[in-house]
Amino acid sequence: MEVLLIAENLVKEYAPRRLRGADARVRALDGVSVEVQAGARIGIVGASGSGKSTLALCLACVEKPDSGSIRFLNRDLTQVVESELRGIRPQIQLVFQDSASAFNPKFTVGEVLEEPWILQRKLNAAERRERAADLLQQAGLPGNIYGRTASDLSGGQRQRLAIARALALQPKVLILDEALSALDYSVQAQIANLLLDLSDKTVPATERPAIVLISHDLAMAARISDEIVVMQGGRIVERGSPEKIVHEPEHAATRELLACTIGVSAEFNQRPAV
Amino acid sequence: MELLLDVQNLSVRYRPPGGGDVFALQGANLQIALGQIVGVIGESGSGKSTLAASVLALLPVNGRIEAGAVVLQGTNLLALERDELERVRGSKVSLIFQEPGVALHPMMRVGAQIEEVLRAHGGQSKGERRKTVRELLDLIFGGEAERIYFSYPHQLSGGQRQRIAIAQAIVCNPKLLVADEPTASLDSVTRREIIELLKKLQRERGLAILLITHSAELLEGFADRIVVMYAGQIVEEGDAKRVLKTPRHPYTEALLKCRPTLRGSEDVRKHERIPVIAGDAPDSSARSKGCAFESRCAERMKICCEREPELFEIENGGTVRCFKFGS
Repeated sequence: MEVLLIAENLVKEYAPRRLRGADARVRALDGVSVEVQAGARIGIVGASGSGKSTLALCLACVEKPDSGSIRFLNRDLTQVVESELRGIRPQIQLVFQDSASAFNPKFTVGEVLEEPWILQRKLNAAERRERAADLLQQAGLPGNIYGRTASDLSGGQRQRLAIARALALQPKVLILDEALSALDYSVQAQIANLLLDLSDKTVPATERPAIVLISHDLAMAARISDEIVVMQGGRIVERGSPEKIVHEPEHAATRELLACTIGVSAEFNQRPAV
Repeated sequence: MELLLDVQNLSVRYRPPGGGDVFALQGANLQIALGQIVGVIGESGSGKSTLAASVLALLPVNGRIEAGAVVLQGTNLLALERDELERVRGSKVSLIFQEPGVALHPMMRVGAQIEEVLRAHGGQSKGERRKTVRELLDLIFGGEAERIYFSYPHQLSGGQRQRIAIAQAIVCNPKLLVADEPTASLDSVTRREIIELLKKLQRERGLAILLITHSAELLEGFADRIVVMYAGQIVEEGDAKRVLKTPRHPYTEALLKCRPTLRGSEDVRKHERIPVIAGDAPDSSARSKGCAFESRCAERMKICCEREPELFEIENGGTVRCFKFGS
């Protein structure tokens, strides 16, 4: 298996602004190591303040860790200069809970999707148009929204567009930071299925993006991931396959997250899908 | 059981500036008994927040009550004058929202902000107000109450701020708390804690709760009854356990299936696709002749597009708006 991204012993502290009192630093990451292989599906779960979003930002080179190393295809990202990062960032894409708020409100769906190619001077207009149509289809969006402005779309459609936009430059790693949590469950299910399609194992590992799903929702993470990493207080407290995490949780933080996934009754879920 | 709230045939229409009326609520009927917990589930745009706001006669300016009544212990709130309404809100019925931080004054200690509610409704001296708030915070925060009382909102976590909003809402001992997605912006652990707090308040103070949520699993073991909304209509209503375990309306069934759970081993790994509801969410600005869910329904029949189903009664006093249960 090709290893894409290795983070070792990451430490990141923030100094929150206080009205008064000592300048207490918050250690958001406290010696975190993760490895992302080509085509992997990793779920990073934890409660608020566990450090999972900081980890996402560090992995996506948006934040620099205070210490530790992040190697992407054998280059240490904490050592490279900003101009070099420009070539690397497109390969590691980040989707947020409300990525759609970063769209230019005057841009059409087509412009949102094609902007990265224009900036990279990669394709001509006809090629861009064709690739944009492919992306819309891949993200499960109707082709006729190409000319509409992004603000006209529903919440679920906007989040699909954010994912399509993240896929435009064919990233090797797609990081989703609570990208589902703000949506209705019915829409979450659609986006989850989209992620499962994108990461389907019938496609060779090198041809599909690795997926890092950051979430407080263990039920959804277990459905999508091959490996679950549980964080608490800036540390990884447990990791393993979804089966192990769900059926033999060892750490109290894992058990607490599990207790929060209590869903509708088991008998109901045994019945076949509608 | 004594009836507390009786929402009768309530219809609400919004007139957005761009034109195109939205029928947010169409003939909704809802009863809540004293001390009862009723959960309302549905997707965005189903009308559940409009239902919550109507219970306090708090619609946005472009919202209009077309018909119906909201009767709280014999008084129709929709017929009250503004000053009468203000006396009812907070003392008989209260509302909490998704984002509690927005409603709190950033430069005022939260203890004082809870006392302010008591002062607005009058009837207590300063010392009494302080004592009431201290006792309430003891109930809600336990050993931390003292520290919380003197804290500013920014010093509290999202879950703690929501507890403060709850404290403000119940400090005048209302009979009914309307909670509109109170946990949507919280993580799953904090979400559970807020639900447990609400349950405790129901048990210890006899508070009736109308909880609006899109997370049906929160209602398990919490709500007594569940109301399911779709496109501005109540499509199913019944005993909470029954609705969660054996949903009757095809929409309720599909909605509950969208949610992966960890109960069955089939939900872990395997990466099986999650069942989704086909088609797009309904457009509340257009009223169809038939059932609102018809175009997305896997079990549709000929009659479904011909006329609108009414609410048919099923076992245990439940109702379902579907021709599978009557015609």
